[in-house]
Amino acid sequence: MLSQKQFLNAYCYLNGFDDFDANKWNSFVRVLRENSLVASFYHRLERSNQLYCIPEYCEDMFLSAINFANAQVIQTEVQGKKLIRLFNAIDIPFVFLKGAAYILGSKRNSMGRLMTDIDICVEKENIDKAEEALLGAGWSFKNMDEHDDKYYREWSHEIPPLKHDNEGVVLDVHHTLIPPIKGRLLDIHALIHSSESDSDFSSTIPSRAWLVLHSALHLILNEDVKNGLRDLTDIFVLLYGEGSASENVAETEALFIKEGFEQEWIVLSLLLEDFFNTEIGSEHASANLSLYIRMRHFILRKAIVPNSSFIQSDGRWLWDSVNYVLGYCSKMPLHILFKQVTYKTYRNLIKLAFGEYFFRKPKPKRNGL
Amino acid sequence: MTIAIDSGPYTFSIKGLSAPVVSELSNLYLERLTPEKDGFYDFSLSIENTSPLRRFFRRQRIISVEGVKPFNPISDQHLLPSIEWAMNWAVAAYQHTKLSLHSSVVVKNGKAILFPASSGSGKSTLATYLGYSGWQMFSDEMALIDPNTLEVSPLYRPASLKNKSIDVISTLCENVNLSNITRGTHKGDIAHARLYTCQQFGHFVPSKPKFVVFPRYVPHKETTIRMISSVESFAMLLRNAFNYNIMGKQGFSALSEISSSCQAMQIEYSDAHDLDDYLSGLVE
Repeated sequence: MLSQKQFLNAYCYLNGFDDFDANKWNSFVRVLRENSLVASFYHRLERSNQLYCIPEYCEDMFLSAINFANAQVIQTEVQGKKLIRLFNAIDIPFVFLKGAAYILGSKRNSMGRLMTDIDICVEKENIDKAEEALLGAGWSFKNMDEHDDKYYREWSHEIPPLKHDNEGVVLDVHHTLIPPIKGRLLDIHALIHSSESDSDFSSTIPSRAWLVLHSALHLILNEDVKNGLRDLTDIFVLLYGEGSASENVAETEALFIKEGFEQEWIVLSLLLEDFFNTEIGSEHASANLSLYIRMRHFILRKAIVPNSSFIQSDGRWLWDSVNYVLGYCSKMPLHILFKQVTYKTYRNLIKLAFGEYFFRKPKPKRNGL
Repeated sequence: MTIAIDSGPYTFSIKGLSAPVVSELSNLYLERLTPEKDGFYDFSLSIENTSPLRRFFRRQRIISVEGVKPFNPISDQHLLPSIEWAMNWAVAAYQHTKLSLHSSVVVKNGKAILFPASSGSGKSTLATYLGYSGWQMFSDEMALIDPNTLEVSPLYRPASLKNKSIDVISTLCENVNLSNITRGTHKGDIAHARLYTCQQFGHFVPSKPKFVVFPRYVPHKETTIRMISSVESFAMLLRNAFNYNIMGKQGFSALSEISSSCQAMQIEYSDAHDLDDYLSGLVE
């Protein structure tokens, strides 16, 4: 088992491998695999010319993950082209978000990064037309209960997830980046027209600053940070991994402020300082920060570290629980938060009593396995 | 208890096992099963409870593979076959440097025969019978093919027998080492057969496939053979490939090379002994 310090030193700073024996490598790659970080870590190690650190007994695991990630790039490109063709035909401008945007925009952080679905964003006035076009092109809504459907339709920033009937791909269609019920509105028209190029994919890729803003909001205004370290790594590589870091940071900070997320920018800066030793957090470290910023930073710093039996954890459940409440509070008004927490608490109590899988629907039979 | 299993090309660490399940697994893996030691493992499995209450009331277990829980919960009685399926799932989901096919593999005279087929085709029964009758059974479930050498790796894994095939193998292979039967799984009754000692398995070496046989057991039918073209063989192999799409050009080249270099045939049979004679003649 690794200490948190050993894990973060290896993952974030690419250091400390001299002290890694087979047992520590075992723990380290288990955490990477549990969090879908194997291939992206390999690429970061490659970019820092440190592949020699990987012992021979681990190589197969890394190369397998690279092959898997490479296949996902091809699949994303195919789906990306189909979506562009579909939306061009009905004349709806849209952009890809998150993992698909990184891959189709050839961002460095896309190398080896895995994702479970494709995210796109259209303006709210186009959401019905987009939904109709997708349903007519082989996509259908995933099964969900009445509460979840209502959650998406009334409170969320996206429609319920769609799945392609033949190709097994899941698509999330957003009309904004955070639930609008909180009253914090973003300039989605600007997002959709923020692309820095006119070419096929590039015209559907938001600017770097918008990509960072979305990833940061996903990290900070969220109750679930299971992929928090992946999101923070994305942001770090987007800002510091290509182009001029100072220009990237300045443009991104300006966008955060313009869109009314100055506090979130400070939280993000502090986290980048904590995990990747950047210097943008230091100017805020001694400043007179609000309670919100201090709490969000403190809890996220604890909750972002992967939750794994291969890393020592102290009171992990507490940080996850507090983050759960703070994340919901950040994105919902209290009256809706109450309804949502009541519903989730009911489900969690049932799961606690009768098993985590009480609500799980039977799966189709797997081919021979 | 936490144990380690060395299957040949891959090692597994399995946490959370009770003594009776370890005892059953020990009978299948012999000295290739050891208490877990410090070191690196290719795959990590963990048997967990689904809730505090369900530890005592209608006890329910779930298998976590690298932190992912791909299967529905099971009772303690179904753990043995579920662990075997989870080990297969781990390799199919995470191993992508070798082409993996849903196929049994048997070898004689250094020549491998692939039996690609879906569940219920009788490929495990056939491979177990042949493995008992002088062939080396490399696997009853999964062919792992090195895309550079095209050699298939031997796996030290028991054969998984379902329903009627348990009786068939018990009758045809008198002294075969069978596990207890696990009844009422989602695939029916399951038993596992260990064919070799670790010393015997130590003589198995990676081998190139020379024939691809798509077997089909048809009761009371005389053995009939239909040769198939390399194109048809490629298409049929493709349907049984787990990670062809992930391996990209390497996967295509490997599958293409196998389908063009191996004689492929569809065989319907009811007499395994008769089929053994025919296949032995092929690899002489």
